[in-house]
Amino acid sequence: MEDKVDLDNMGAVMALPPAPVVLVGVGDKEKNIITVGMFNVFSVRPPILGIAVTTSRYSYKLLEENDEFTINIPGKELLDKVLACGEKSGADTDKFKLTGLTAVKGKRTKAPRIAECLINIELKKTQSFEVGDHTWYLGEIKHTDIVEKYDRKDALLYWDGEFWTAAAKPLKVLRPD
Amino acid sequence: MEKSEVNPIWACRAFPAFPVTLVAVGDGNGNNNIITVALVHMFSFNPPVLGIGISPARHSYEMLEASDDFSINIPSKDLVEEVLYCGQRSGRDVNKFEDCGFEPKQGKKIRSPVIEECAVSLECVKRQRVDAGDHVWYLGEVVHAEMAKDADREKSLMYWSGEFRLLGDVIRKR
Repeated sequence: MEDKVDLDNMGAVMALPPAPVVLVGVGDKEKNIITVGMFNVFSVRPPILGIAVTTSRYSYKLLEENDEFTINIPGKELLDKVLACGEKSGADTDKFKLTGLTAVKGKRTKAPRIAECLINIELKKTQSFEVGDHTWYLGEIKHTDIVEKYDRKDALLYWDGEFWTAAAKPLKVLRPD
Repeated sequence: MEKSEVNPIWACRAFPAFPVTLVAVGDGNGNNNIITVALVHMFSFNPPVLGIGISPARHSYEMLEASDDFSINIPSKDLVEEVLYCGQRSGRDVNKFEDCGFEPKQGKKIRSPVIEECAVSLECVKRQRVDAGDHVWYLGEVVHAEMAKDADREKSLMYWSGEFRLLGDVIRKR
C-alpha cells in the first residue's frame, strides 16, 4: 500500500476501529455508574473481563474499595444515558437518579446491575494493575443475565468521539469455535 | 427488562464485535510471523499503550516471549480471507507472509516487521506482561505509527464469536 504517512502515535491509535462501550456498576451502599470504553475480554476459560478507569475518576475509589462490579451492555436507545454517565462525576451526581436507570442488586454479587441494559454480567475482581494513565480491573464472571431476543447489532460501539453499531448482517460466518 | 440466566461463556459471545488486527512479530533474521488477534485494546492514552492477548498454545506466543516488540496492523475489509488464514494456520507449518502475499517491511523503530498491505501500522515495544486465565497479555507502548492517507474507519473489519462484520451506522459524532 502506497502513500503512507508518518503520524503522531496518538493519531494512529485513534484510527483503530471502534470497540464495545459498557456501563459499569459498582458500590454497595454508595453506588455509581461509569461509562467505560476501555473494556476487553481477557480470558475465555475461565471467563475474565477487564475494564479500565483513570485514577482521577470517582469510580476509581469505588473500584478500589469493592471486590465486585458489574458490566452492563447498553442498547443503542440508551445512548443519552451512556453519554451522561461518561460526562458526569459520581462525586457530585447520583447517576442512577440523573439518568433514571434502575439499580438492581446482583444475584451472586453485591454490585448493582443496571436493569435497562441488554446484558448484566456480575464479576468478582481477580487482579488490578496500572498501565500509564489507567488502572485496569480484571474480574471473573460469577453470574450473567441476558434478554431473550438479544441481537448484537443493537449494542453500542465507541471510539474517537463516534458511537457506532455493528452491521446488521455478518460479512462472513465461521463455524462456532 | 425480561432476562434469563446464561452460561458466562455464552454471555461473552454476545458482545457486539471487536476490531480484528494482524499482529506481526519477527526476530530480525527473517523469521517473521503474523497472528490474527481480536483480543486487542488500548490500555493507556498517555503514554499510548496497546495490549494483545495470546493463547500460550500458539506458535506466536513463543515468538512474542522472545521478542521485545511487535506491530499491530489494521486490515481493511478486503483482507478478510487473509485475516482468516492468519488466524487458522500456525506459523509452525506455513509462512503467512508468503502465503498471503504480504510484504514484511522493516519496522522503523522496532525489530519486528510491519505489514505493508494494512492501512495502519502501529509499532509497539513491550512494556508489561499480564497473565489472565487462558491468555497472556503483552502491553506495548506505541513508538512509531504509519497510516495510509485514505485509511477509512468505515472499511474496518470487526470480529467476534465466529462472525466477521463491518460497522453499521454512526449513531452520534462528537
